[in-house]
Amino acid sequence: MSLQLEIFLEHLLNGLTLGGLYALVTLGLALTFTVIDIVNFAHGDLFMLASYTLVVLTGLEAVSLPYPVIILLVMLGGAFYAVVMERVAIHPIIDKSWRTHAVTTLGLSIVFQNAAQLIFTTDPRQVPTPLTKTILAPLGIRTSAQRLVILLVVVIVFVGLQWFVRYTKLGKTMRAVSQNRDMCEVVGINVRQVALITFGIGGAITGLAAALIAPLFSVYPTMGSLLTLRALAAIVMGGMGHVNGAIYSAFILGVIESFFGGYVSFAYRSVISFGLFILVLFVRPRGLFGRRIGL
Amino acid sequence: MSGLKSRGWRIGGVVVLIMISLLLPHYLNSGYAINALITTVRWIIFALSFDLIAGHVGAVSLGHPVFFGAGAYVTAILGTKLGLGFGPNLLLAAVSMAFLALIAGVAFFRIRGVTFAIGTLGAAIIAQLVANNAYNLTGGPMCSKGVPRPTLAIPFTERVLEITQPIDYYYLQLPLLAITIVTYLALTSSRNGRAFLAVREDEVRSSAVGIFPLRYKLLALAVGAAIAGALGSFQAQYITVVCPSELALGITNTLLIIVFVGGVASFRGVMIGALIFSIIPRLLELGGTRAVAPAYQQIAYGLILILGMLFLPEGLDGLITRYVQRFRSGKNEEVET
Repeated sequence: MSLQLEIFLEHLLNGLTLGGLYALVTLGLALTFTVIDIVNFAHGDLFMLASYTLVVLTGLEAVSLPYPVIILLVMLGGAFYAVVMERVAIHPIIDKSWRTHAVTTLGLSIVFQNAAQLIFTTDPRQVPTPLTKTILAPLGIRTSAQRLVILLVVVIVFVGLQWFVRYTKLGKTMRAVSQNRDMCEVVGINVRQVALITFGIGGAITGLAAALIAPLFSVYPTMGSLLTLRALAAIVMGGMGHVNGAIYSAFILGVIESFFGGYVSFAYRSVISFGLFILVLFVRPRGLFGRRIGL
Repeated sequence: MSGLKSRGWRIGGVVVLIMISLLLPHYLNSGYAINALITTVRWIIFALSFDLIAGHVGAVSLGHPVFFGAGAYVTAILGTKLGLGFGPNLLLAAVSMAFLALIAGVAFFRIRGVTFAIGTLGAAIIAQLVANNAYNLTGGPMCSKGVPRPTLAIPFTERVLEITQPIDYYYLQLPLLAITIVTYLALTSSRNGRAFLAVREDEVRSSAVGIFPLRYKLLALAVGAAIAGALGSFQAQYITVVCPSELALGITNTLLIIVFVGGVASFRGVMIGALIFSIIPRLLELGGTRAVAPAYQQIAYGLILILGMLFLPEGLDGLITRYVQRFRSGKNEEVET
């Protein structure tokens, strides 16, 4: 294999794992966004809180928990934070306009980031797992096992979610709520309860994302801001009200960012992905895979 | 009769406010207090310019600080190179930001509602990344230093006075405040103001009655951007250093708090909001004698924002209006009985 091809494949694999990582972060937000039409600017901070939960759980001196158990606990933590957030701040304003949603969740984001800064200081924390140090080389391309696990988990979660939404009663209810909330209330669906459950599921997926992704990077209080915007970018690019579109867009952003960072400029790789997102907005305001306009 | 009377009260109130704003710094003899005053006026100007866009035409732009930061960089980079004075610098920043707003507006107003908010947030992050990474132009995190201070030529002499004292800066900033208030009131009253609100409430219906939404949105954005740009230019000449942090997202948060807790699309509300949220941090610092971790202040701001959205949907302004009405109706009842 020629060196150039090898480099190309390395960037491609990197881009795919990066895309998988973005997709996992996006899923939870896309769910609440589509089902109950709430834009949550504190989503990335939910990820941050779950990441600190991971830091605390891994750092426990008394009991050294195995990684899979920790993942489960962090998922539970993510679901718990999301449910509390829904009950306290989002529940009372759920029927208000998007402006109220946006401003309230931005307020939540400020509170979470600064509370984390007071508790954990701004020093970045590292949480390596056994998998991050294991280097695998499929097809001669070196990558860490953690990244491949993420890619695998994204596929599993994605397929699982498709099955859940299509074939379970709760999933069908969620789809119905996303399509017509008023009509659902007429036929006796408890929309508020569905909202709470959706937040719970979204939180659990975000917890899973944090437990898998945080070990690859460092954990710090303001890590959520960029993640929120990346997830929102993927959702808007995919077309509002279209979870699958958001996932495809997350992969597109990941691959493009990886190639741009590898071949053109590493410093401007985020600029290119956000620039692309804005460009898509101008050219196709409904998003790449969109069917309807969001608002 | 009563109309005339209330008009008299109004004019009297305005005169008193002008007197206070002119005389106040003379009674504050510490640099800290005057600096706090400058900051307060800055937030009033900034929040009014933001409210034009977010409040009156309802396009919640999360990228408003870009105009402030870019205006500051225009002065730091271009103004310094051209050797412009204080006034021309402000004008250059205002005009270039209005121009930028027109271009950005034509593109961004293709999208609406929450997508607009997300898109403008993306633009803000791009601007911040560029400011941080374009070392040759902005100096990156090392900041753009050495912006010349404003100078004043003393008439009939050869002497040129360099302005360094906070109190002089305060008086330099006041005309900008006056221009902002007059522009804000002129744009938001009469037919134009009603057209703004019509566009905010329903674009399709407003275009049905002959209001072209894009025109009014562009007008609000361009004027808001020009004011923010001029303010950024002032800030650059006051601090003499321009850093990427001028574009920070935290500024957006403060603007949102001032406008949404104070009262959306309300002059009185925005003024109250700007005053309260400029004074609170100073009170926390106990007049500069105590250092407070900014995190506490930020948490307080976030909580106030959430509580405001939950319990004061119309902001403090709505609360005041309600109390005034209750007071008035109570008095009327007394007269009747």
